Amino acid sequence: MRVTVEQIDREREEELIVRCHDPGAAWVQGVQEAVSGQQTVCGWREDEMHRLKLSEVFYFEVVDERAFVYTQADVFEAKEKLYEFERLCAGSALFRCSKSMILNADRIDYVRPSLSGRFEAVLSNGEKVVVSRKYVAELKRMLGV
Amino acid sequence: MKNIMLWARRYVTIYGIIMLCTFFMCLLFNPTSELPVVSYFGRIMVFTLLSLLSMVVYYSRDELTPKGWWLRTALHALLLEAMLLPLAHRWGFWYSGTDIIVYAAFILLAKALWHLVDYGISARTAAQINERIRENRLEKRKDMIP
Repeated sequence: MRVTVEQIDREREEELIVRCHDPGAAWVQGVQEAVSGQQTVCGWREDEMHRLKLSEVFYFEVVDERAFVYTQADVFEAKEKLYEFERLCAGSALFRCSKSMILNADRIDYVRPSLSGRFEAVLSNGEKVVVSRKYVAELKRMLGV
Repeated sequence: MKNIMLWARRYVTIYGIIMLCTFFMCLLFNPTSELPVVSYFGRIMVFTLLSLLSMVVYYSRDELTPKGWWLRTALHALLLEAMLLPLAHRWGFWYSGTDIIVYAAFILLAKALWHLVDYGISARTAAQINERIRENRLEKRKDMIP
């Protein structure tokens, strides 16, 4: 396979075009994941703006119409709406897991069922979040179950 | 389409549970009884439909908390009893004071069975997901080894 890297001016927007036979091929998905992992979202904490890579984000949550970004050990406030996050995360490991949350599938340690028909996802930092049954199909699709 | 399939599956599951409960109830209390098949199945279908409609109590705009879920589950049980007991009496499924206690207990048992089946399905899904997560992790570890 031929790989071409072209250096461009700072004024121009960086982009990656993948020309492939099968868009669903594992290597194409790998490229998509790598690119989305480099995407950033702005998080605010004590009047300071932080640029957070999507790959660092554990989950986004909207509580009382306020959006929060959770990483390994920190919480940041964000200005985006949930649907904006959803659009931003398209093609990445982040997926809608409930009515108010977008979760990073790569950060899930394991899931366990609950009597309520929902699932509890235990994250790699020990946090527990709820995955609705309605959205578990998306997680299964992402993992290839 | 997905939603229709989900509700159809629920309908069949509830129907099966009600049939199972009715079978055991007849076996225990009235083993020699003969039921008019068509009207009997029709009545069970109505029971199933009412049970399914009563699930509207679980509807919420926001995600239900565990406490909220338990509260609605209790409310749902009460609603089922309130809807199904008078109807069952009207159709001659129970007559005396003892009957009503047994019938009410069977409704609760059917509800418990429903949640148990649901939990079983969730447990199977969770096992599949965990297996896949484990496989992905192993693959990543292999990729990292030079």
